[in-house]
Amino acid sequence: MIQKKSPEEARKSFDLIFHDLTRSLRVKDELSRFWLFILIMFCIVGVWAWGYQIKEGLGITGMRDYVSWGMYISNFVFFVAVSLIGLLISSIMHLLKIHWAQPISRVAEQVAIAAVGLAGLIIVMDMGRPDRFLNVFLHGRFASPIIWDVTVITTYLFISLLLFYLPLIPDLALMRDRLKGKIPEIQYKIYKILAIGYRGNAQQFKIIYHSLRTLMLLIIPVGLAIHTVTSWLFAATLRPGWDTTIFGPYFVAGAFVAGTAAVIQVMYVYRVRYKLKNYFNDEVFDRMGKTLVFVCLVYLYFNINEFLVPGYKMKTAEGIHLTELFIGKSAPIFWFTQIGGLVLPILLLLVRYFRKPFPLTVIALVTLVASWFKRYIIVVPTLEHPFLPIQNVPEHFAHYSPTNPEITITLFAFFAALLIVTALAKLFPVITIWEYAEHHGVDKKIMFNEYEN
Amino acid sequence: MNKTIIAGITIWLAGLYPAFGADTWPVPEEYNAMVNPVEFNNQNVRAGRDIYDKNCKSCHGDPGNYNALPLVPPPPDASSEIMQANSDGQLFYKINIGRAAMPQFETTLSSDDIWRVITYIRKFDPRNVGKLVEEALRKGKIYALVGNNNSTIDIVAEEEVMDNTIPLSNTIIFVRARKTFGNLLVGSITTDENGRASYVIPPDMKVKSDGQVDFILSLNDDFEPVIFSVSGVQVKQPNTSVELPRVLWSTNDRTQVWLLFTYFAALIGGWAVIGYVILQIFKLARLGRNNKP
Ligand code: HEC
Repeated sequence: MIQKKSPEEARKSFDLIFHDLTRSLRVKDELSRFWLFILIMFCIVGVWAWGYQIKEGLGITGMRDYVSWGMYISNFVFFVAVSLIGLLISSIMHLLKIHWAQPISRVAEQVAIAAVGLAGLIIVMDMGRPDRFLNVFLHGRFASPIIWDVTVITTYLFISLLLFYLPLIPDLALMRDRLKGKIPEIQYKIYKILAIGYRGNAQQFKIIYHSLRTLMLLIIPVGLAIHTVTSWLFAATLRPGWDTTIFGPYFVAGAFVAGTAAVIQVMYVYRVRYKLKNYFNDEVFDRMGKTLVFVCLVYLYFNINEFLVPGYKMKTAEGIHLTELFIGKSAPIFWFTQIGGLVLPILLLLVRYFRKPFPLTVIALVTLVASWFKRYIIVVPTLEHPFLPIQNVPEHFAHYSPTNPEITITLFAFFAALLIVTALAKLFPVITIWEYAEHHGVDKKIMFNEYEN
Repeated sequence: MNKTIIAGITIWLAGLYPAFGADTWPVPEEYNAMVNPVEFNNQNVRAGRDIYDKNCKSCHGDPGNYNALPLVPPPPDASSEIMQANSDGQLFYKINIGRAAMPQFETTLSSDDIWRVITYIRKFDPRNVGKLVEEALRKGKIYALVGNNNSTIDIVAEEEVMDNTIPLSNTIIFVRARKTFGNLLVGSITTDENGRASYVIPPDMKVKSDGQVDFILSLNDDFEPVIFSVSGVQVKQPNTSVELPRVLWSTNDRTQVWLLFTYFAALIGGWAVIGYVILQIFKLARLGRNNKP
């Protein structure tokens, strides 16, 4: 599939690719500024709400003794889920040599970094005394899934950063070589430092490939672990709705759905904003649509297992919980998540038309929203049935409805994540230039020609 | 299962002696006039029933139901005319000696027991209908305490007779141990004339690791159903060391070793690989410095 090009042609087409893929660094129009302004404003509001929460205590949220995990934890699970897409696209698909996925692996890594970073922050935001955060490390109990979760999430964040950085090094070197004078001086300096003197010779590329491969292998168990351990936070307790053995794979499957939907959103924005129609082309969207159908089918399979078997038996406590989900108070959200997040994408995306970029993006957006509510449905309704008859506490302790500061802080996570993705896109090419160029017939020697003799 | 084996054997035996079937069963003269020494009353009928249920029911079936095993010759129903046509002495002879598939009970049952079975069989004699007044179930009560350093269960049994409570003497108390599913009959003991009994817990009893057993005491079915439980009897020393057990969701020094091992192995393994990759990045930087054009 790689046709050899004459050096002249290759040089020309490489110039074009480089020009297109660095456009995101150069776009500085009204819309960008407005977008940044919005994001930063909302982030400031979110941080302010957090400050208010720290001052007043968690009492300002809707959480009480019985429902002690609310929107924050749902949001946390959602972000951990989204981050798992990094594992699927930039590791598994890479290792399986699925070439169409190559241009989106950096998008997947951006999403993964933003999501897993925010997931960690959300947990801190859910703490009544975040100033004692370090105690988690100093006095953590190794028997607790919470410590495992903190460990794997930190590890995953690190690996994701490295998986983002390593393939970026040659790109940084290219920008250092070609953009001098065309971009602000500090930006250039940053590239120069981060490029760590990369010259693009065979020996260096060998190290890059070797390290990448090592990381791609390492991220598979770590990636599976982050979401499995997150599911164990629930599954390791004896609660109807949580006390099930399939929670690990169930969460992982659900994570791929959320992550795929999220990556589609970002891809679409890049395609339109940075004029990358030829890079994030119809074929990539079509394949992502198919991927979404596939992961949805897997997730549907786990959903059937998760609800049909206990629904058949209707054991006492489980029965109350399921009735609440199927026809009770939580039924509207429940059916929205099942239909919007599973049935709808599966059915629609089987039609080729809906896998075109715009329709796919809209459908994936619905799926993504449904995925968020799915986490809410996993976390909250279970806590709304305490085991005992409640004694000597106000009635509203057993119910949960998020308060305004809580919603603000939850939204903060989204804006902060978008801010991270935006910053990464403004600073670094959104597609790995050298890899893409090589796939389109440009030899590495031509990219780094100045230093090759 | 048992029934089938017995049936198999008897059908085979019956084949060997086909002549017996048609014959009447001759009984020596001296037996004909024997009289059943056991009094015909509820207590003896009950005792006879227990023996019948254990030894005869598998072939002869439930009296009155004609559900005997289909053997050749057939074992007659206890209420049937064939059975009741026998005099007491004839029954005694036939049960003692046996014939073809009908086993002999001379060596397995005492004469007294055989007479009790006969008493029970006679309950179904049409001439005896109405002779036995069914007694109302008696009202018993059991109390018990663990005694003698957890080695006995000391029992007191009482009976309510017309608003009075009197000791329940010479009565069997059944002792059962609670299992995860159902109860296990571990023994029985008869009360003395004061209605007291001391059940010795079998020292070789196998128990759960906490060493505790729940005992359940009950009376036979002459009584209205009544039980008394003695819970948590420390039959054996609990099987715990002085050290607290290592369990999930616990403090670090009480966490299971396998768990700590898994956690730290994964942690160290993962970060070792990350460290290795970071070293590679340093190597890249060094190569870059050396290759300066
Ligand atoms: C293995 C099966 C079996 C068992 C157990 C058994 N019987 Fe029989 N019994 C028979 C058969 C078969 C006959 C018929 C024998 C015959 O007529 O040759 C019979 C016949 C009899 C008869 C004679 C009836 C008549 O023809 O006058 C009596 C009485 C009797 N059984 C009593 C008992 C009693 C009491 C017990 C228990 C203590 C008992 N049987 C246990 C199989 C059995």
